[in-house]
Amino acid sequence: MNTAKEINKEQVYKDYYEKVLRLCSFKISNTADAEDLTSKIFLKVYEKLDSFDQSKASLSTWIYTIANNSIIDYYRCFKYHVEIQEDLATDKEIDEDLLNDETLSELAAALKKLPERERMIVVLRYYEDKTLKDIAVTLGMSYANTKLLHQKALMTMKKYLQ
Amino acid sequence: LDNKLKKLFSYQRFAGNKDLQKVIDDTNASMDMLSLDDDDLTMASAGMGSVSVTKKCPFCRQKSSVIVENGGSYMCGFCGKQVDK
Repeated sequence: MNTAKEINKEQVYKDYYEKVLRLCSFKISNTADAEDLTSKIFLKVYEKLDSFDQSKASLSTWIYTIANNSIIDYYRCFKYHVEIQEDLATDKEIDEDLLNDETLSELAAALKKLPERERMIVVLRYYEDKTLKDIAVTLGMSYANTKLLHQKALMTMKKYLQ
Repeated sequence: LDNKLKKLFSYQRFAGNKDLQKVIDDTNASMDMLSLDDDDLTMASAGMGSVSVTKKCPFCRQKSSVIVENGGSYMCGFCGKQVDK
């Protein structure tokens, strides 16, 4: 199935280890667990590499999807109930149309269109995973104003992110 | 869009797109400036007789690190305008 049969495992590790570790470290606060999970993800990637189909997704998106699903499984293994982050729970399938470098550059361009305060709110909300209440405290603004500017930012960004 | 942004920023943690990372880093740097008081940012430049402080420009309303001259005037690091005491 793999159209690029010569994908080198060592190269895959070299190209993606830091990326997977960065993702895991952000989603999982325990450093040892994040490193352990990163290793497990690479074992999975190696196991499934033969079934990877380049016509369905890029290698980057494919590895990201495996990493993301592994993080969901990690939280499911907890004895105690841990709420799975919304972005993880809704991101189980490969979404090649959305998750690519081009869309990220479009997002960068859309962010640049925002006034500084609104850009801060978007970065804190979506990149740092903060709640609007926390953002209000961080930026020294009222909750109502933060909420309003957040809505305004989304309306502006909608125009640029189709 | 809310969900789309969550997915994209999560993917950015993995993909590290340079354009987007630059916007994020610049935004974080601006937030760092906001979170510091003027007093915290006052740094004596040893031996040079000048003082670097963060000032809010009355023209562009942006904070920037400036060198205050003896008379108390300075040039805004953001818009470049001369601000007199």
